Amino acid sequence: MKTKAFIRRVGFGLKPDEKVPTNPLDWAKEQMLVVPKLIWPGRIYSEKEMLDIRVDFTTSEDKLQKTEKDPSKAKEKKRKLYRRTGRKFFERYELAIRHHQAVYGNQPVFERFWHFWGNHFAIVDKNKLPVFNTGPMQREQLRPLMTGRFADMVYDMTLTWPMIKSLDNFKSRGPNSAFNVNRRRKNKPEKGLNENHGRELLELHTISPKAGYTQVDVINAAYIMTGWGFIGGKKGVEAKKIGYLGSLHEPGTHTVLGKKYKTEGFSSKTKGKKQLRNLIENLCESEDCINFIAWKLCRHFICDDPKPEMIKIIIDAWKKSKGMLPDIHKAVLEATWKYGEPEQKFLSPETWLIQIARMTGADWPGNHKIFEYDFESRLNYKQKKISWILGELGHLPFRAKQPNGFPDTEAEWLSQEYLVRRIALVNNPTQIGLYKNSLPLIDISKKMVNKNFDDPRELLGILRKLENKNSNSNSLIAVLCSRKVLKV
Amino acid sequence: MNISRRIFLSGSASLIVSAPIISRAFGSTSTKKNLVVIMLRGGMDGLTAVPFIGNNILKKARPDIGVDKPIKITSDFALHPQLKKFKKLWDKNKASIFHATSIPYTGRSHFEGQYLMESGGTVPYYDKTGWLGRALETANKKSLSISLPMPLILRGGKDLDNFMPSANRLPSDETLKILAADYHDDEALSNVLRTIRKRPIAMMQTSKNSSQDVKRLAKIAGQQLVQPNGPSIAVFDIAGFDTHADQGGDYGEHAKKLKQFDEIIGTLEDELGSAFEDTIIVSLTEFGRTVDQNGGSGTEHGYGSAILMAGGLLPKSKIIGDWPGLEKKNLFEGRDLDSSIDARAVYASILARVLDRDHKEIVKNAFFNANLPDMTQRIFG
Repeated sequence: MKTKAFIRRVGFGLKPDEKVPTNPLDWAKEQMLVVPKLIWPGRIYSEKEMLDIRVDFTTSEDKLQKTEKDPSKAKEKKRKLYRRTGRKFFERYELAIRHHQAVYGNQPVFERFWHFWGNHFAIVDKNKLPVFNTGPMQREQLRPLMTGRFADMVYDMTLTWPMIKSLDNFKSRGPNSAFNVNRRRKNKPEKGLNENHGRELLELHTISPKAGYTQVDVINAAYIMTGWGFIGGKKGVEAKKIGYLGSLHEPGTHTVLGKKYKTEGFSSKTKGKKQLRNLIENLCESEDCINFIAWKLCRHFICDDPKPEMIKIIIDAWKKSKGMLPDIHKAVLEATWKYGEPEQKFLSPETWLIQIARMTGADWPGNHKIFEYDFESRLNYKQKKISWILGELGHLPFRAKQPNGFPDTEAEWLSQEYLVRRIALVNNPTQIGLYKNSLPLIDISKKMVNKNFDDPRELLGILRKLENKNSNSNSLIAVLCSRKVLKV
Repeated sequence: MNISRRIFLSGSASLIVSAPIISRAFGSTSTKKNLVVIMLRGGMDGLTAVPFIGNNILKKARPDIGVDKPIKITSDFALHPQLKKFKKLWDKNKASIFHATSIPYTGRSHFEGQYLMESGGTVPYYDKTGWLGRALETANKKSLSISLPMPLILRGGKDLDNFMPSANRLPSDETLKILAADYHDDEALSNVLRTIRKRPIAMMQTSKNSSQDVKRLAKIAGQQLVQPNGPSIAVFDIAGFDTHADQGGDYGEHAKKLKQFDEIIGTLEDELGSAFEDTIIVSLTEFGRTVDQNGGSGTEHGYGSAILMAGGLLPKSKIIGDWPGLEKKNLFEGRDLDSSIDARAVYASILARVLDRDHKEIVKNAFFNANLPDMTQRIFG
């Protein structure tokens, strides 16, 4: 690929004052070695703090619903609770941290991969997870895993609070576990297996259905996962810790895709605990997993229908490094550099939005001081607009409707309504922080084109025609919604 | 009444070895007929929407998530209490149910299943177009999807548009012309922009209210369908039927989703007015759910489900299908309601009726000439 096209393909394009790297492939590869610090100047809430706030919210809301019967009083109390716990604030705050990092950070390629993995381990939009938990989990738990082994990433992501919550594993119990044996003895109805997480671990996170597993494999994977869930909760209060309860685990040997997983361990509390680690190690080592993830990475960065020679570069690096993510990521960059063609990949709405913000130097998502919140007032427009805009574009990254996350191809992202929304957004450029009192918009457009295109002539030609027509925002639409910016 | 594997209700029709019925027999081709497909993602539980009440197997299998107040519609079947509008239509002979049916997919993966329910094929992620789109390729009809993406089901068709109310305003057509020139060499982008520029004024208006309440969306669709030159095909997309935990019974997660489905139907009936007589609304899902409840008071991915149909094109209300029974021996792999008929056969027959085409032609164009029996008589007879 050519330098600038590659920078737009694997990163978010160049900032107005950013130096063009002399060796773009090395520039990109170096970014994979160290996890960049978050540059957000405001307060960063830890994942644990956010879990505390969440549990405060859910417990208080539950109590409120049970105790306050007067509708108008209930409404007022609910409003106060929402504000005190940042019920409407925190998702926007997380989005601001994420976008600030992508627009102003110095390792944009790393951020692209971070977004990719966040979507690979998508948490569905339910149980207020996007409000309090998904963002913090991605930044505090997922990010540091990106310089380690893929298998470790899968294991740790499997056992994050939002994943266990959203895929219901905390409700899954072995039919013959000590727990159920006891229930049957007491003539209580048994509480059985939940296949949800076991299935998605195979289908989405590791080997994909191409591996040819059966329903029996799914059930056995779910058996292996029994016992993993929330621990230490009190009645009526959500538990905050993820842990293993041997009493819920399905005893015996479980076979998944021909491999046997025996119950190891002596203590009844930890018996069977190691099965999940062993299963994930085997899944991640398998050809099916390597092929699937390599294909998915190629689809994200190179083209909608990746060819075997592209995928092979990643497979080789995976095998050579025994699944080390920096090596895998570097191979993705090499394959993109080698096989990427111009205007080949239609950008997702969020990536497009970040690109146009970074390339134009827009004031996006806005100064961190805007997002200082007193937990008493109503949110203002500037605080709210980031989620409103991403919602309009159809891409609120913490709100996947299904656990397969957001799609990744032109067929899925190009539609009348999606395109209308991108054009209409740029038609109102102040929304994305392009103000008339900065440079004339046409000059911003020109600068951006000169900086970010290997051959800027075509786009400059369009701008030249608009020059005398007093059409400032037209110039932005003509460039930011052009074929060459929508498709990189 | 206790039935197991037998043909019910429309049984007489299925016993007649009738002469092939071609759709022209159903009347004039000049009236604009409408088809609305409501996609229910996540695996709609046919046994919650239309529970079998002929014996107590279902009740026993689902102690915590059974439907407590089912609305009885036949001696063997009932409707979920949230399907109120649907029930009203049933009473007016404008609703039918095809029970124990599924697309020919038994892998229990949502994403493979959803792909196939839209592509109409049998290999996941293989066909790049959808069955509705292919059927419309030569039909000279407009389609409108009430969704942000253009769903796979419609891809491959001509004259497609999609819509959701939005607050931001498009620039003037002069500005769009600049983009049209730029998109000139890109077929996909050009086609999309061309439709945008031809959009009716109602779809150009902005709306401060960003609510995606289904009633509001159904109203928008209805207003377009009723236009003589407007779309005759509409597609809705509701997610959230994947209730592995806390599925609920009369209320709860699955009930909420069924209510949304019901509200779309009710709103469309109101909006369409007399055009409802020339309309058929059908549901579509990737699979049903297990007969037994699971560890989390939910259900797992299953196989057979139900197709709910409503609209004036239906001649009378009935439950159609060959009920396989809920006894363990009759379940698919010992756990799921079986499918007695390829659901694509139902959709093919509906398409033939709405598009005034020969059944064989539809099967060839939309469903790759799969072996799909003609269900026209059972649905419309």
